[in-house]
Amino acid sequence: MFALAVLASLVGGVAAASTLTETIDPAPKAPAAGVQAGDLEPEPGSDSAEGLARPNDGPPWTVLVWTSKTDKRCAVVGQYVDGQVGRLYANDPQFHPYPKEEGPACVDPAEVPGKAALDPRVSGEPLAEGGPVTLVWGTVSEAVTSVEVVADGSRRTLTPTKRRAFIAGFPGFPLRGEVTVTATLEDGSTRSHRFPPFEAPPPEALEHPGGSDHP
Amino acid sequence: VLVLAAAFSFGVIVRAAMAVHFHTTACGTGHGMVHGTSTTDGKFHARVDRGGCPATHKGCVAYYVPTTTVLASEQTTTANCDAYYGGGAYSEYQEAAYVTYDTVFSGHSHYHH
Repeated sequence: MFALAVLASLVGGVAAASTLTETIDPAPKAPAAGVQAGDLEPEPGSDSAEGLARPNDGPPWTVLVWTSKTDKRCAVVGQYVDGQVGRLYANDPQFHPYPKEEGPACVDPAEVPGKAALDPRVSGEPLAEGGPVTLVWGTVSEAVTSVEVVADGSRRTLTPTKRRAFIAGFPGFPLRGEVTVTATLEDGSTRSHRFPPFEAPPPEALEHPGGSDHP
Repeated sequence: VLVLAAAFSFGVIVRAAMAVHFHTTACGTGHGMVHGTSTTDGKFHARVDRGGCPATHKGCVAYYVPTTTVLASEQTTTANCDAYYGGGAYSEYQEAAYVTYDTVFSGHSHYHH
């Protein structure tokens, strides 16, 4: 009788688990929300590497800009090696090109707040070849004439590239304090974004390997 | 009744162990861990898509769970957030994405499923 109860428990448990796991999304190759067919497909020949930053002894960093088949603007940061943009890690001789087909989703600058007058990012690459670096980069609208980056105790003024990208590189990760990016427009007005200091994963994450800690 | 309770408990335990690595929540933001073309090559994205949510601060951290080693990070405001780790030095089963989104959700981690 006990064995029968255990068996029933297992069968019932698997059934319950199956029901509950139906809500789990499949592994997405690309973001699911708001992505149209073609958003992640590059328009052939639309790639260009915009700007260069040399924050350490490794290969230079650049912004790769391309256009999707839906005419949206796509941009990622990476190291520029032999005409490709990707990652080169310390103690790993292999170059890893950025997989454009995996996103993130490209955007139509006209559809984002402020018409994307300033669309800045702060990227940390602690394992980069040549030592840890932080890249402050992004894209701006046609109306922007200059971009000022204040980070790690220094101030840099950048001129947007032909395809409206900018990049500044800083040795080290994480940087001390906050990062501020300010764009100046043709009419003299400014748009500013402030990034707080890097927030590391909390130690309690160690208590949940293999699980999820989600609100 | 006892058998049914045991069955349900077992199901909940299995569910908790499998976890959700990426999903879409409030106002249409998809966020979590994106494995890419392989779930075992160690390469993945920690990602927050803005969707229809406010253009507030977002943070993405790709990290190795056992030592909380940061593999890559990104912060954005207007754009989607995407921290990409393209190396294969760590087991993807022990990698995770720590994501934050001001005014939308608090910081939390998504693990390999």
